[in-house]
Amino acid sequence: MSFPSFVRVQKRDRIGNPVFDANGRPVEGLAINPIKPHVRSYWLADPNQTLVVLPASAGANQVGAVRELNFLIDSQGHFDWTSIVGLSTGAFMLEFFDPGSQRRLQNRPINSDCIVGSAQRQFRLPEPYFFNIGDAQRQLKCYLRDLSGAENTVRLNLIGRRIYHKEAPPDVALDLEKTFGFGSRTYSYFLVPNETKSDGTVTAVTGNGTSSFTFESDASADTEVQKLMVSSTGAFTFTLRERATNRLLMPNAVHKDNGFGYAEFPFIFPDTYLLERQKQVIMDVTDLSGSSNFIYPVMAGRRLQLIP
Amino acid sequence: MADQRRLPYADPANWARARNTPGARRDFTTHDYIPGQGIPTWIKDPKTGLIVVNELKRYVKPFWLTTEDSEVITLQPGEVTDFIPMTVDGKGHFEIFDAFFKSQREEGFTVELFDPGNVGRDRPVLMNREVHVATIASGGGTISPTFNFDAQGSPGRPFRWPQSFFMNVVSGTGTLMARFRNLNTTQTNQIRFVLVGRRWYHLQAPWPIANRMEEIFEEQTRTLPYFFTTDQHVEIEGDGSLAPIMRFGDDAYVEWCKGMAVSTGAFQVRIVETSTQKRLMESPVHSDLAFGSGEFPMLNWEESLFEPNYQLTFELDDLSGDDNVVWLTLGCRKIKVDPKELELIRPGTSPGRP
Repeated sequence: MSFPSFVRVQKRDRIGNPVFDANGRPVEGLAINPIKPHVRSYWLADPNQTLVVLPASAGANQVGAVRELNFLIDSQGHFDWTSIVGLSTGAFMLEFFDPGSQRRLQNRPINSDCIVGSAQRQFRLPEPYFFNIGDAQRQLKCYLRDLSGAENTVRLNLIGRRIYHKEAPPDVALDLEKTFGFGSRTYSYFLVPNETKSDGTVTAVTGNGTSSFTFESDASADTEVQKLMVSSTGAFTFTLRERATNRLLMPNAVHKDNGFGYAEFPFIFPDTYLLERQKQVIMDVTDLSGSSNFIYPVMAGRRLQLIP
Repeated sequence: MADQRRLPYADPANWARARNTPGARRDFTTHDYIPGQGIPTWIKDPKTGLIVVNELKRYVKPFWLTTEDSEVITLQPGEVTDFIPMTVDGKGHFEIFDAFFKSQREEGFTVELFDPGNVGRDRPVLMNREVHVATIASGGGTISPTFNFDAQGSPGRPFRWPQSFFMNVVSGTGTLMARFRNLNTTQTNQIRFVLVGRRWYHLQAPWPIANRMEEIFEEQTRTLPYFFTTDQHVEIEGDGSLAPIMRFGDDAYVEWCKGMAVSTGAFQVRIVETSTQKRLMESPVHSDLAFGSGEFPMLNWEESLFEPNYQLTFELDDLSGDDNVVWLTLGCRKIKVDPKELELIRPGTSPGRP
């Protein structure tokens, strides 16, 4: 939630004492929030490369050599990351790693079509990801591999807000620090099926054939799923089923266009779906295209970081 | 006639019907008006607990405001029009939310808007210079990285102004003045420009409702929507660079909410606060990753609040290889400074945590 520009505050007299009316109620006035000028929209980019050229993979739906973007957050203030935008000449796989907290933000590499939007339609993270700067700079590493079979020029930026607490007056700085603290809270996470290989590639579903994908919330945290995205080379139908209860989330198969979006227009659950730790959701798919179908489904959600 | 002691909540004549409305007992607000939202149709009467029709709602209707005399204007090649009035009748106030346009030519046209009724009351203009219509209104269609959105569906993607604009038909004239410039310099251009919002028919309402409407209007006097563009026209030579500035003025705080751009080619941008040299991006960002359009604007998740007299520098580099005309617009709202504010806020703590 963004900071309000207006705040309602109790009026004070000239020497700073709070003012009350004849009935003893505080007398209020509307003021511009003193915190707000110290918070700015911010585009995070790799300071050493505005774009990266990925070597071509051996063919479509195969991955090429890995390249790295190093998003550096200088020490001027905290960064609250909220969305992903990018441009590329072809599809690619990407992985995020936060070395500061030793945290991976996905269980396998993600297809760019599922989580990379544009300025017009940013891909909003299900939960802002907070980088506490402290007294040093922070990093977010991103590993990219081509998936298109051709040399791939990628521009990738992360959008959010900078909180310039260090330059704020002491009372405002203190308030900002109290508000954000250590950023110990939930964080965004992307789930892809366990059947996905460690480099992000998938085995194609045969034409008119069926296959099953397993989404699993591992033992470290519960996952609250908010959005569904997919990239595929053909149409398919699917059902979602909870392994533990055998409960289906739909009575019959649903076309992918009615249940999955993509980065710009993701499908958003009417109510978030809690996938508890070590619980699984099985996605049974049936190809409709009649050809080999490479399917890259992604669930986006947030996890609760437990503080012992 | 409704019971004036109870307005604007309920007409007692409807209470019996309200009592017989099954299941309508919860999840209704007791507020007859919530800023920034549609006026609730059904509300819970705080005295009786019954769900009743909001009396305020009966006097507020959608409204389309067009240019006077004709909704179609034919512009000669490169023509700049005189100021054309867009007038609402005197039956009630008008609150503008959205803007739409049609342009026969792909180049589009520019717009300048001001409210003559409020000249001298410190709410005169809505932009610092002419802006490209496709940066403040929906209507031209747009191309996203994965889809081509045709102009035909533009009304489904309205450009919502960063702040609604109240046109007072009593103390003002109920008129906006609009000036257009055809950006096609060789052909005529048939254009349409429409502002959409809601009318507050306070003059037809019982006096308690009319008073309530006036009260709501008065709450908005410190803010207004404002569109900032670069101080100068921007045309970058092929593969060249330019660093135009955008000055926010010293009359108000400025809250930047949305970013839009129209250009003849791709470019990259780095935005720098001129006085502090604080950068909003460490290295330049592609135009498609920094600015949206009138149909899908770039929405700042955190609106940036700038103190009066701030200035931004836009370091632009052409990526197209050809001469590149760039129209940048920041969708903002102005917040007038209250001289008493310093007394309100200092000394003491900062009260603005979310």
